[in-house]
Formats: sequence, C-alpha cells, structure tokens
Amino acid sequence: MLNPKRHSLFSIIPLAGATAIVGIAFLAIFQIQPLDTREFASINGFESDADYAKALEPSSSATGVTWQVFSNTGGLVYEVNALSLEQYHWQNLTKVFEPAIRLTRERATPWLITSEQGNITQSAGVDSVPADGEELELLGNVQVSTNDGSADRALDFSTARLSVYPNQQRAITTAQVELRHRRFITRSIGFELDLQTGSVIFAKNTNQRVFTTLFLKDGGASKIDQ
Amino acid sequence: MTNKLLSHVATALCLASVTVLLNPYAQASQSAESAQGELSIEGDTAVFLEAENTIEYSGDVIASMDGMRITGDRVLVLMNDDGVKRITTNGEPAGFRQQKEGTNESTTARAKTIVFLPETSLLELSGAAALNQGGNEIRGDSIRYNLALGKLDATGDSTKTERVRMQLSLPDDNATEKSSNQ
Repeated sequence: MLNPKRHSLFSIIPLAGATAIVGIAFLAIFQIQPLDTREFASINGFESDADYAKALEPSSSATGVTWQVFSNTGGLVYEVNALSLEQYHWQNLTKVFEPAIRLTRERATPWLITSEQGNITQSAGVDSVPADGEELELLGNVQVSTNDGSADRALDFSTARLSVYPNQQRAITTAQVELRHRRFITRSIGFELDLQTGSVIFAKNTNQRVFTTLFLKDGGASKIDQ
Repeated sequence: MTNKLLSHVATALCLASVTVLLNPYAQASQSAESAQGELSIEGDTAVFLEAENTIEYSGDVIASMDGMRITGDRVLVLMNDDGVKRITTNGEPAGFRQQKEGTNESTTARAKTIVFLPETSLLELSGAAALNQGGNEIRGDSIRYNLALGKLDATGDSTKTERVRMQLSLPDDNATEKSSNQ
C-alpha cells in the first residue's frame, strides 16, 4: 500500500517541475522571437524584414528546363532535365525538382541519375573531394544507373540522398545504399562512386557491415524481385 | 571396454600427389544443389571494380551458402558473362566448414588461400593446407577438394621437400564387434 503522506508529497513535485518547464519555454520563446523577426534581417545586411523575406523567395523560376554543362575543352560534362527550377540568387542556390541528370564518361556508358529534388551549389568539398566546381545534392528516391544494353554489366544504385561532384567525377552518400548487378545485390551504409571508372567503395561503418547476396547462376536477381 | 579410436599416421609415398576418396557419396547431392544457389557475403568494407568485374571484401569476411561457410581476411569475387567464375579467400588462415545435411558431421579445412570455383564445385586450398573429415585429416602444400564428389587430391611442396601427411582415425575392432552383437 502507498503511504498517503508520501504520495501527496510526490504529487506536488511533478506539478512544480511542469510549471518550471512552462516558464523556461515561455522565456525561450520570448528570447528567440525578437531575434527571428527584428534582428535577423539586419544581421544579414537587409534593411527591412520585407527585403529579407524577398531574398528568401526565388529570384527566378522556370518549368520544363534543360541545360548542359561543358568542360573547358568543349566536351559535354552533364545535362540536366528537370520538371521545374528555382534560383535563389542571394543564397547562390538553384533548386531543381524531379531532375534527370545525364553524366557522360569516356569510353563508357553515361550515368543517368534521377531524384525527387536537387540543390545545386558551389562545392564546399569533403574529405576525398576538394572544393572545386559545383555540388549537386540530390534528395529523395535517388536512382543511379548505367546500362549499355547489356544486362550483364548494368548497375543500379538506390539511396535517399547523394552528392554529385561533376568536376571530380565523384558521387558520395552517407545514407543507406543498395547496388544491384545481374550477379549480386549489395547493401551498405555509405559509398563513394568514381563516375569515370565505375569503381565503388563501400567504406567501413560502425552501424552496419557490407552485405551481399551473390547469384552463382542466372536468374537470381529476378527471383528476388518476384 | 572403452570405445577408443586408434590413431594412425601415414606418410604418402611420393612428393607429387596422392588421391583419396573420403566419403564419396555423402555430400554429392547437397553440394551440387549448393552450387546452384545464392552465396551471402559480409565484410567490413567492399570495393567493386566495374572494369574488372570484381568485388572484393575485407575485414572479418564471412561467405555462407546452405551448410557451407568460408571465413577469411579478404574475399575476392571474380565474375564473367556466364556467372561467378572464382571466389578467392585469403587469411591467416582462411577457413572452410561444410555441415553434412541432417547430421552433426562436418568437413573443415584451413589454408592461407582458399579458392572456390562454383562452376565445377571445386575447392582449392593452398599454403599450409589441411582438410579434416570425420576425424581424418590430410595436410599438404595444396589440396583440391571436389565438393560434389567428395574427392580430394593433395600435393606436397617439391621445393621444400615437404610430403603430404595424412592422419586417419580408425574405429576399435572390439568396439565394432560389441556393437554389432547387441
């Protein structure tokens, strides 16, 4: 049985705690709100909130867009088709929706990369990729494939997000990834793809090992699909 | 009378090779079916090379299929247009184990390099190779073991004058007689 005195004492403590939490939350809102509405515009060099709000809107937009990017020697590096595009001049950002990117490579079949959305910015670089040129950050149902018509050599990657560095011919993700080949299916967390050679590195990850199902004879991958 | 095993050590007559049939029919059907199936491989890291059509795993690698299991530090899978051509495992040592279906009996092997050829169901062990089946162990510089037929072929190292060594565990005759009288 519960001691009635102790029971009543403990019932007061949560009440006091809850009051304190509400008080802290109130103070936090009070502190954050003025910064958000009154000071942020001036911090970022805007004279008024209206100017700041305007900067957050796309400076230009377009639908059904296609553009091509060429190298210094005049060769096509990549081509983008997208459902729509929004440019944010102040943020140096281009958003693309439902992009389909075709990346060329020497003496090999081009890569086709599709996703739900993409952000194109100047590359800040990562460990294995220096900050040079653009970064195409692709988000949502990212599919990477190369297919020369020969099912034996076709590669299909799927992941939730992918950073593509066309200048360095690299594609990198730290998300869960699946690679499908006629002979195997590999699942891992994170990979680095050399878009020129087609080599893929599945690096060591503390959360999950690289796991492959290898089909010794034909028909394995199609059996799993069924 | 205790049922103890008589251990017999025999040395092969020549350096070249010795061919032995160990339990030839026991694993034939199981292994033939296994070679048709799917092999699971896991490792800490992997590298796929599109141009060479290879995928290499490293870091405590485990390859398993039905009752078969191969372990090692590195596993290299070589593919071609017809299928998986060769699976090479390296380790200190690399290990092999195959459980006989429905029993506790197993075949185990170890070597510096274990090559599995799925098309022919051949297992090639090289570098301090040893294979054990039912208490019988054979050692040599290289051993070829046919998973489908249960046939093995062991070779000594001619450069080091190391001969093939075989250790057989034979059942006690009295124990056999006693059990047959019951």
